[in-house]
Amino acid sequence: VSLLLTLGLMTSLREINETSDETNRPEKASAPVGDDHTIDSPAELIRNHQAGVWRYLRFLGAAVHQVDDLVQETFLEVLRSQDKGTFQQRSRGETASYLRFVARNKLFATNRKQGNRPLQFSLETAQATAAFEEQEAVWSNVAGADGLEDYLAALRDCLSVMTDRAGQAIKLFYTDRLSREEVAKRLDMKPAGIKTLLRRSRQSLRDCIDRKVKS
Amino acid sequence: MNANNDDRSDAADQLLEQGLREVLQGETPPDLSQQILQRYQGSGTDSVVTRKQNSRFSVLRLLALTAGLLIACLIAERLFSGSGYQWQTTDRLSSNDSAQSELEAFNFEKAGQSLELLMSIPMETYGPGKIEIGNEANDAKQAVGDGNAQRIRRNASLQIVVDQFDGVADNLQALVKQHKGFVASTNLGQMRGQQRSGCWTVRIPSANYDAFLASIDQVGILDAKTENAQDVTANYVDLETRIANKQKLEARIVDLLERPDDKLTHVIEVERELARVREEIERMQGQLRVMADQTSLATVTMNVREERDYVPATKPTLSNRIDNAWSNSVSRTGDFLANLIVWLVSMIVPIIGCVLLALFVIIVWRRRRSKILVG
Repeated sequence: VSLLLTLGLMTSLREINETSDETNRPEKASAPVGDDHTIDSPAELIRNHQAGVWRYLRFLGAAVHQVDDLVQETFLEVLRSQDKGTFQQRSRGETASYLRFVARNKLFATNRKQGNRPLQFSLETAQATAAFEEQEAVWSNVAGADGLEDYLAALRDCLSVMTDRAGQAIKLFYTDRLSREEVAKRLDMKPAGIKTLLRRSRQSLRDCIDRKVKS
Repeated sequence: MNANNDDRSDAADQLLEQGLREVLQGETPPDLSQQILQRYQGSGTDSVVTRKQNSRFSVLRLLALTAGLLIACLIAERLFSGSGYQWQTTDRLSSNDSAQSELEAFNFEKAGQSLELLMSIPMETYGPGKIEIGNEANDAKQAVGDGNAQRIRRNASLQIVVDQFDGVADNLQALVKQHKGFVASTNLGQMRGQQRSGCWTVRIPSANYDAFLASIDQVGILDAKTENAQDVTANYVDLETRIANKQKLEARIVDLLERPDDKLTHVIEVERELARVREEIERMQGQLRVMADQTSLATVTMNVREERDYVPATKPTLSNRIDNAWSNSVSRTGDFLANLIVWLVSMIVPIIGCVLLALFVIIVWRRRRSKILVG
C-alpha cells in the first residue's frame, strides 16, 4: 500500500513537473507572430537551430552521450508545442532563446532523474544560480541566434594570428591532447611556465574574439 | 584584464573551451534532422532517455502490480480460507518451542518429584473433612506426620483448544455435573480477530479432581496445564487446637458466671471477657470453614480458545523449526499488512491532508524555482 501511495505521488509529481514546465515558459514565446519574420517549417527550424542547441547543451556541461538525445527531445517538444498553439515563432532570436530554455529544462530534468548528478554547476545553491546567470549572459552576448557560428569563425581567425610559441602550446594541448608536462617537454619549458602560457594564450584569444565579434 | 572580464572569466573560459573543442578537436554538432523529423512524424524510435524513462516506469508498474497482487492474495487467504488460525498456531508453537518442551516434559511425562508424590495419593481416599493418606504415599505421610489428617489446597489452570467453540459450554457443564462440581464463574469473549475464547472457573470435589482432569479431553485438546498443591494441614490443625482451647476457656468463663456470690462489677467484667472469647472462636471457626472448603473442593480454571486445524506441540526438529520460522514470517507479514491497511483506513483523512499539503508545497517551490531560472 505504501508502495502504491508512493507511486501515485511520484506520478503526480511528474505530471506537476511537466505542467510546471509548460506553464513557466517565457511569455515572449507565446506572443503573436510578427510581420517581419517568416515562420520556419519544422525542417528549417531544426536545420537552423540544431547546432546552436547542441553547442549550448555542451556548454552547460551535458555529457557527449546524452546531448544527441536531449537535442531530439528539445525539438520534439517545441514542435509539438507549436502544433498545440502554445508556442509561436516570432523571430529567430526568440526562437533560439525558447529552444535554449526547453533544452536547459530537459537537461536539468534528466540529471535529476539520474540521481542528481552534479553538472558543472548546481542549481541547488545561490552561487550556482549566479553561475548559471553568468553563463546565460555570456552565451547571449557572444553566441546570439546564430548558434556560435560567428564566435567560432572569430576563434579560427584569432588562432591563425597567434604567436608561434602560444599557437604551438594551444595546438599541443588541445589538438594533440597532451598533458602540461608533455607540452613543457616539447617546448623545453617548465610545467608552471606552460600553465602561465596557456592562461595568457586563452586570455589573448578571448580578447581577440571579443574585438572581432564586436566589430 | 579589466574587472568585467574577471567577473565573467569562468563562463567565458567554458565558452572558449567549447570553441577550442570544436575547432581543434573536431567535436562538431551532428545532423539530427532526419531522426527528429522521423520522430516528429510518428515513425521514429524513442531516444535513449525516453527508453530509460519508459523502462523505469515499466519496472515501477511491475512492482506496484506485484505488491497489489500480494496484498490481495494475503487478504483473500486470511478472509476466506481460514488459514489464519493455522498461522496463529504455528506462530505460538515456534515462538514458544522451549516453553512447550518444558511444558510437555512437566505435564505429560515427568512431573516434579514433590508434586508427583502428592499426585500419587488416590483422591478417592480423601474425605471432605478428615483426609486419610493412601498406602502408596508413605513419603508424603511421613512428611505430615503419622496419624494426622492431611489438608491440601489444590488449584489447576488449563489451556484447552477446541476446533469448534459452539457447544463447549454445554459439554463443560455436563462434565462438571458428572463430577459433582459447580461452575464458579464464566467469562466469554473474542480475541485476536475472529478467534473465540472463554474462561471458566469450576469447583470440583477433591475426590473427583483427578477423574475430572482425566476426562477433560471430552471438551477439547489440552494444550497446557499448570497445577498447584499447597499443604495446609499444619495450619488447619493449629486452628483446630486454638479453637478447642478457646472453647475450654469459654467453658471456664461460663462457670465463673454461675458463681452466686460475685459482685456486679465482677459479673460485667466476666461477661465482657466471654464475649471477646466467643468472637475469637467464631472468627477462627470461619477461617476453618474456608480452609475446609478450599481443601475439599479443588479450583480448576479453564481457558478455552477456538483454533481450527490445531496441531498439538511436538518436539521441534530442524524441518519443523524451519517450517515454523517460515510460517511465522508469513504470518507476521500478513498481520503487518492487515494492520497497515486498518491503520491506513483509520488515517485516510490525515494522510490525504498531508499529501495535499505536500503537493501544494512542491508546486509552490517548483514555480518559485522556475521563476528564478527564467527571470
